[in-house]
Amino acid sequence: MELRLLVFRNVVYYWRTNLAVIAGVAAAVSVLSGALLVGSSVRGSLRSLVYQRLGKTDFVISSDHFFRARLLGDAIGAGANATGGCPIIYLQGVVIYEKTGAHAYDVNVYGVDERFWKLQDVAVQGESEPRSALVGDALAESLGLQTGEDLLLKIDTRQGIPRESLFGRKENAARTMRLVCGGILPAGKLGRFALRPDQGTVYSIFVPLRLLQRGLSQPMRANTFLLTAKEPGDNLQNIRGLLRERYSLPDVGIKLRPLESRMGIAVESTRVLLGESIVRAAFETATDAGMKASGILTYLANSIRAGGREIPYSVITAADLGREALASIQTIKGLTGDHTGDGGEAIWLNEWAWRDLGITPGERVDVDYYLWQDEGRLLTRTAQFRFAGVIPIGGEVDASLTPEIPGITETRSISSWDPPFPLDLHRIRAIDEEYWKRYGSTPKAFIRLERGQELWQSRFGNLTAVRIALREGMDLTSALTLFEAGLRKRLDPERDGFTLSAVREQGLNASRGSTDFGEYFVYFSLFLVVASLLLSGLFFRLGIEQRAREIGSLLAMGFPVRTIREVFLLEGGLLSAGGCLLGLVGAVGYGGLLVLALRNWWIGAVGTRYLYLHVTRADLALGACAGLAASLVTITWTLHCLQHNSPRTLLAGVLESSSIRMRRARMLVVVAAVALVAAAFILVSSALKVIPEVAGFFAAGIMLLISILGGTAVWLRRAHPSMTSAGGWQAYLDLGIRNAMHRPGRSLSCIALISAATFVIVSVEAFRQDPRNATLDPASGTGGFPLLAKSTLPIVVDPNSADGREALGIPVSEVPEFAEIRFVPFRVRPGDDASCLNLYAPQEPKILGALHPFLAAGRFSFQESLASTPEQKRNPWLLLESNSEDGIIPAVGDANTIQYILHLSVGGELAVRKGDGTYARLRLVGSLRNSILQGELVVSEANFLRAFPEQEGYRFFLLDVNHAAGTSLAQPLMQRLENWGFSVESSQERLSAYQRVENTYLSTFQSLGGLGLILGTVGLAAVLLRNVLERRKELALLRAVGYRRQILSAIIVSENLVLLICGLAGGTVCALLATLPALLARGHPFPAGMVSIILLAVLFVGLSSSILAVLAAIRSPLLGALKSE
Amino acid sequence: MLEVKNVSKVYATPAGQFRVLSDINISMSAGESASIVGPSGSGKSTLLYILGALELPTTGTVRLDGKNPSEMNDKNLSAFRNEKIGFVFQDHHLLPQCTVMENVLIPTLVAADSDQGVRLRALDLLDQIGLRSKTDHFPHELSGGEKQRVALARALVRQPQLVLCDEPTGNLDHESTDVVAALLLDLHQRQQSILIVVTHNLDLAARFGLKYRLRDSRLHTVRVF
Repeated sequence: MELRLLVFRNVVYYWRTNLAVIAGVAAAVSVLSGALLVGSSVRGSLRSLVYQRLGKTDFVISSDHFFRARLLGDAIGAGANATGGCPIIYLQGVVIYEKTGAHAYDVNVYGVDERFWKLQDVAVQGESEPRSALVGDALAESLGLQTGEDLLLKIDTRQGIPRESLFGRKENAARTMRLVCGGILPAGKLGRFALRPDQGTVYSIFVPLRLLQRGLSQPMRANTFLLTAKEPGDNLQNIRGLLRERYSLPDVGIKLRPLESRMGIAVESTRVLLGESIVRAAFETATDAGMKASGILTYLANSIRAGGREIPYSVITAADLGREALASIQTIKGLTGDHTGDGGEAIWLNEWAWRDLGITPGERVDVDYYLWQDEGRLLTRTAQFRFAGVIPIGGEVDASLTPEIPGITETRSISSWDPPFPLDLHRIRAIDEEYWKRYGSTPKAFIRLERGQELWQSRFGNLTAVRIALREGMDLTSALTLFEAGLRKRLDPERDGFTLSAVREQGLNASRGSTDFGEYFVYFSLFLVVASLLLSGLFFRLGIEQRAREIGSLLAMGFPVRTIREVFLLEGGLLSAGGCLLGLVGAVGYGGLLVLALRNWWIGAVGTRYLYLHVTRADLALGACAGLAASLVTITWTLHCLQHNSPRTLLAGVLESSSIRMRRARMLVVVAAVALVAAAFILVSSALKVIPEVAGFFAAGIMLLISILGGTAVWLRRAHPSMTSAGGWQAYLDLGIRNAMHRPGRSLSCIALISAATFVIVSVEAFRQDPRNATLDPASGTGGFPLLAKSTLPIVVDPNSADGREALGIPVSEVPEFAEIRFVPFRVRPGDDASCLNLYAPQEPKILGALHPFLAAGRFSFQESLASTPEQKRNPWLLLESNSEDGIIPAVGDANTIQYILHLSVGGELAVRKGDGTYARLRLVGSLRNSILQGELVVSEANFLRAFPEQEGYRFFLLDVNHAAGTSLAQPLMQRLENWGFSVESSQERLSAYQRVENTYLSTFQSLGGLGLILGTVGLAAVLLRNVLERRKELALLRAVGYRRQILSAIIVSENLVLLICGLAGGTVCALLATLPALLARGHPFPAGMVSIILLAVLFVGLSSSILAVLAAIRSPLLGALKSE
Repeated sequence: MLEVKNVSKVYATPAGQFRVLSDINISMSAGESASIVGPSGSGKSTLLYILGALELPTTGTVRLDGKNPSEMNDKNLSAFRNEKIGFVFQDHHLLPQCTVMENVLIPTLVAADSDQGVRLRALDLLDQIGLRSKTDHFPHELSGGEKQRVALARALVRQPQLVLCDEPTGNLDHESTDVVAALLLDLHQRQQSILIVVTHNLDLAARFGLKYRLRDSRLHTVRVF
């Protein structure tokens, strides 16, 4: 016989106890591995979702303007076999189901043709009709739309000229297209096609490309190019190379206009104003080619006034005449009093204007002009000049000095202008029309370039053209070719509007998630794991206790303690290994159950039903190893506790001799006292603000729990109390307490399990947010704004001004109920939702640009900030307007977003991509407490415009309205501003949505903690059953001396009741202490009702299981136990 | 050779020190047997545990084969017990999960000098105690007397120099007591070990060569009970 055989015999013989140990370990491994599987499942599901939503798309080339649809098409066909691609138009729009009036906002509108479906390898039907659109299933479901039914699509008919410049159109440019639903696409057929990762609902509609091109007046053009990698080597670098090789100047909105004189070239932009990088490249290219270059800024003057006369609506050019490329433009010499015009106040008039005004050099000339303010107002300003000379019309002085401005330059007369600003046609004289007919948009006045830029530059640029003068003897065609090639080489399409994205890679990176659900669920399940391991250890201990005499006998036979320990450890190892194997099966079940719960009951935490169990070997192995290690540690500890016993006490079946009992009691007194002192010390430190209050109280609560458990352990080990001489319940209770003291280790394990689980459940309940309590206090999470809104199309007018309201179609005269609404607008750099509602890790968080009045108002509450001055401390928003020497942009975010989504802290930095492809650094200078601004970061408008000048208008709004009327205004407002895709929601509802996530996490924690508690009560019942079985002879004796079964049951149940009440009371008291500051800070009453229900439920379950255990135990004839004596 | 000199045992209790044994002296050679009687709580079992190196004396020394267990570490002490001492308790303490043969062989599992002959020796012992036919039986299939006989075989399988029995027949009926006692003496004679039996049974005690009575913590030699 060998020791292995002995181990085998032990395992088989004590199968009942061992099975319980195996079950405990299996439960722990199931819970651990299952929790880890949840993390993998969320990641795996998000990954699958990326594949489903992107189809075959790997890379995207997008642009903020339209480019040739065949931009890369030729290249792909010609040779780059590794890559396939197709051009599409990608816009945001609003879809309306006319029949019911149902609206869907934030709809992804794709203009596609057969190349798209071929690229995606998807066969579709229903696209044959010219007006036929394929609708994604989510959109169709949201609208209640069926195939064959009509729908309206509102899209922005984008134009090149920035809205927030004088020549940009401010009015709504939305176009409504009537379409027919040609079919409904399920998710598997790209029905939820999206280029940005988001697990939420995606509305998509596919419109024939040609139809959309026509609707947008962009024939043969697109704004997005999708590419698919067909070979592993394909990467963004290849695509970048392909784009640089194939793009043309019109693709980045640059026009090279040969001058009529054939002596020069004008570099112009479809946006009117040339970007800084283009200007730099144009000058450098000219220098390289030995050509001269000059910048021109042409603007519109409402009036040129002098000597009581005025010329209305004149083109005026700021340029350094007579120099570089404009060297040929000279003033007419010989005028009396000719002014040198060296100063910034100099103005030159062309000969026509000079004659019309009839002034002499040095005379004052006033120029009235419009100036667009970023906050959405058109102002009239006047600049004063001195007449410096006359410029002859002709030669270089012609209409080519004026860029192409839709609605103006192409018209035959001034009266037929359709400008994006107010025009008083009554002011236009016959001679003005005559001039227009003869000279078109030839400037009537010239000022110095520097002065013009000072007056009219904007964030979009400060030149309307760069004039290039050909070298002597150079012909125009070769100069154009040379210049174009040079400019193309110098320009970087990515700095000038193109954006390249490896969307699949980004999506897959994002699918790793900002929240590790595996980690969270391990935390959430921790009490379940601990409960399982404690139970497992408890059962193992029971098994050892059962075999105490056997151990004593082996010691007597000369077995070294170490050998006995090895035997038990080997047994424990085998049981643990068995438990682990069983646990792996359980893990799949537990993980599946959690995923099912997340998909259904806890959907608030994930916001998607697209969640499936993904089983990975790594998670199973990790959980099994962790479970095995934890159970072996538990078993080793249990054995360690037993090794101090002498063989004699073991032979007598005693596991804790009175001397050991006394020694342990003394040690526990020390532990309890130290923990109590620590709790007091932490409480005092916390009250004195030496340590954070919330953390301090929580730590104090935990220390108090340890102290209480230590004290209970001492109490259970104290000298047996004298029993009451009276009969009845008091006596039964005394007996019950005495019984609980019989095995103090067992009793303490049960109390510890119940009190710890109670602590978690009660303290978690205290942190639960009640969405009904969201207030409209300015310092609250809503900022005091009852409503918040977003618009699909940017609003560039000031919605608080009368003109702005007029432009938006909500004048007070028509809708007086809107009079009280005060809009607080924010600029938006679109990006990923950084709130807890988005499971994907935000790669590019959405950024808001806030206006000064909002920042100065100091609404919302800050949890933390880098405020240093008293003013900033009073209102940390002001930090956003502070200038940092290192050029880093200060930003504010919600505390939850910063901590849990971005995994940063206040003072941390992050890089965000700017419009020109470079990166701006943002420093988090403050965190908001539990606010509605969880999905985005906020910067000041000034910094926003510096980093993202291309982002126009306002697309996010907080609405200050009368609280009572607040929500009732939402629907009318959405209807009125339908053309902007304006959607309004209640701030309280938004906050509730965020709180729901938090509450769902808490519920999850509680539910799993509750399972741990149930496991604890089951353990309690098991211990009770064990105690009863061990004491059958004792109970039989009591029966023999006349105790009725009911009395015996009462004695046993009272023992259990003592343990239960000790556990529940200890856990509750400590939890209340731990959460006191949080409760006080929240200002809401403690949820006593819910906590009481939970505690009563635990008491009920515990008592019920105890009664069942007792009934089972004493049902068999007890007197038989005496006979066998 | 067993030499017990001036052994005393004192326990510390909440009520103060409690002296169980005082100045105990025993000297026995191989082949000798002794019985110890005394009232309950007189310290008989304590003395037996001290002789068997399961407990240490407060004062005095115990030497078996010239070795003092008090001076040994746990490893050597365990090996000493395994090699030199055999125990038989009132309760048989058989492992319920092991067969009769396996129970007999249990002490050999940790023997440093265990050889192939132990199984034959175990079989021989089982033969001698009349349980050869039940080697594969489990304890619960045996009567009380049979269990105690297996415990006896287990105590002797390592051919110990000292065999200590604590009320070996305490749980047995008269007939079984006779059988076990006869076997005990017979096997003792064969193995020429030192045998010490603690018992309340005066008839049984009378069958051993030396007779002691433990009273008032002291050991007294008696001629007859």
